[in-house]
Amino acid sequence: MKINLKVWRQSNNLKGQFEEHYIENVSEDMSFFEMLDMLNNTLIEQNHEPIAFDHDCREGICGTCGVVINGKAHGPLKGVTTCQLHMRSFEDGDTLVVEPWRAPSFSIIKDLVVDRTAFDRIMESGGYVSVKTGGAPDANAIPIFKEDADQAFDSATCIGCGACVAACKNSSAMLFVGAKINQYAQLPQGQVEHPSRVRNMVTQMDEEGFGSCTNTGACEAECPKEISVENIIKLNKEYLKHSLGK
Amino acid sequence: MRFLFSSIGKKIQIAISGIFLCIFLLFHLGNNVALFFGSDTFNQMVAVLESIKPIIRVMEFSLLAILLLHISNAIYLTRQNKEKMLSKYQGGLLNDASSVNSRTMVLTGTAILAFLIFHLSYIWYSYQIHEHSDHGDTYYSILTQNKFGFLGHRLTAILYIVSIALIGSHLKHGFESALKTFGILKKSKLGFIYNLSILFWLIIPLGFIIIILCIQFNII
Repeated sequence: MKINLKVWRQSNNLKGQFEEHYIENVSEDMSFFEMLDMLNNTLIEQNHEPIAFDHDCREGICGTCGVVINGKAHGPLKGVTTCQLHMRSFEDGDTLVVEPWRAPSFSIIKDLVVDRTAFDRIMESGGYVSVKTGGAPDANAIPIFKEDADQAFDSATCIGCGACVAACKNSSAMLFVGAKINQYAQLPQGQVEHPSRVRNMVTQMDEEGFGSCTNTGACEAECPKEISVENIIKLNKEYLKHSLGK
Repeated sequence: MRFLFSSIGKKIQIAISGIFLCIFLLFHLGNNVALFFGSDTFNQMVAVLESIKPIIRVMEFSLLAILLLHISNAIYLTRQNKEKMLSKYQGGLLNDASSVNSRTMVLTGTAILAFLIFHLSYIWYSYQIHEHSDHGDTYYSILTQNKFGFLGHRLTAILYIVSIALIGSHLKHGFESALKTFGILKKSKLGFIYNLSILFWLIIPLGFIIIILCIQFNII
């Protein structure tokens, strides 16, 4: 395959720009990142700066990777992270416009790498449970309805990659915060801190400068883990319930 | 207080005020249905409303306050969100998964506000200055006269129909979005409430459009 790559290059706060690369001999079995690795090898051989991009597990489970390809967060495939995207998803001769997540709360560190510590600070404000550690309890010591366990697990599959923010026209982080609240909301272990968790995480989300949700549903469509917008609806309900009177 | 100024709190204020405005539309259409029972019935109905003017005035001011709450919160959030949009994708953002209605709420909302001012400055204002008498103009004849700003006028009728269609588009996203903001969850469990949205975005606007068409074609 031959691919024409228009990739965003930027260092820190400097003004960025697109750089064009024409890449030949791309195998359709390569992953998108293997194609970038190949390009980077060539750039290094030519004494040019390689393209910086975030990646870690390359198995679609860590949430480290993520770029916008032709206006789609994580590329054209539904329910797939960038690292799990293969070149067979594109046509020979395609032009691919590759950009980093763009949101005021995610500043660009370099090229395609963005600073997502805003998500970490939201998690620090309440995205945890305080329990006594010790020996692992019996798996069924606390009975939980199957449906509740399944819903909590569905929310917990959020890998925090930031595609929801990247895809949202308002750069809203409601899907992420909704998933992180709902993974505990239905479980007994999550109840103790639930009211303060909801309030604190929403407050932190607003302070980080994420936009507000207008229910367009773009986040759900682009989420590589297909987290449902029901998480946002539940977050609204929980916030309403635990904020009034406070 | 923190709740009112949070992003979710602002959305809830927009949602509640929006629902009240939807309910007002229901009453508005209910009154307009009197047109189908002849000019006398319509004139009598307006005369009854005139006779309880103080109550109507209180309701009008309440409605104005609700409208201002809706608009001010919408402007606040839109301005905030606009700042977040400044640096979106140079390669274009393909939001084809979200509906056109949901992405054009500000546009349709602004158009509806312009229409509302137009509507009030002609029909509502004429009713305010009209002195009811046994001869001459009646409320019915004012409404249906062939003069710019009134429903007998072809261009005005077209303007009304387009504007009402925009209200339908605004409510198609608005009503369901309000339910989501209140945290009302599953379509399957709350089918009745979700079906109510059809009443607001389709049936009510269609009702208004039918009335205008009937006036245009001299059916009523």
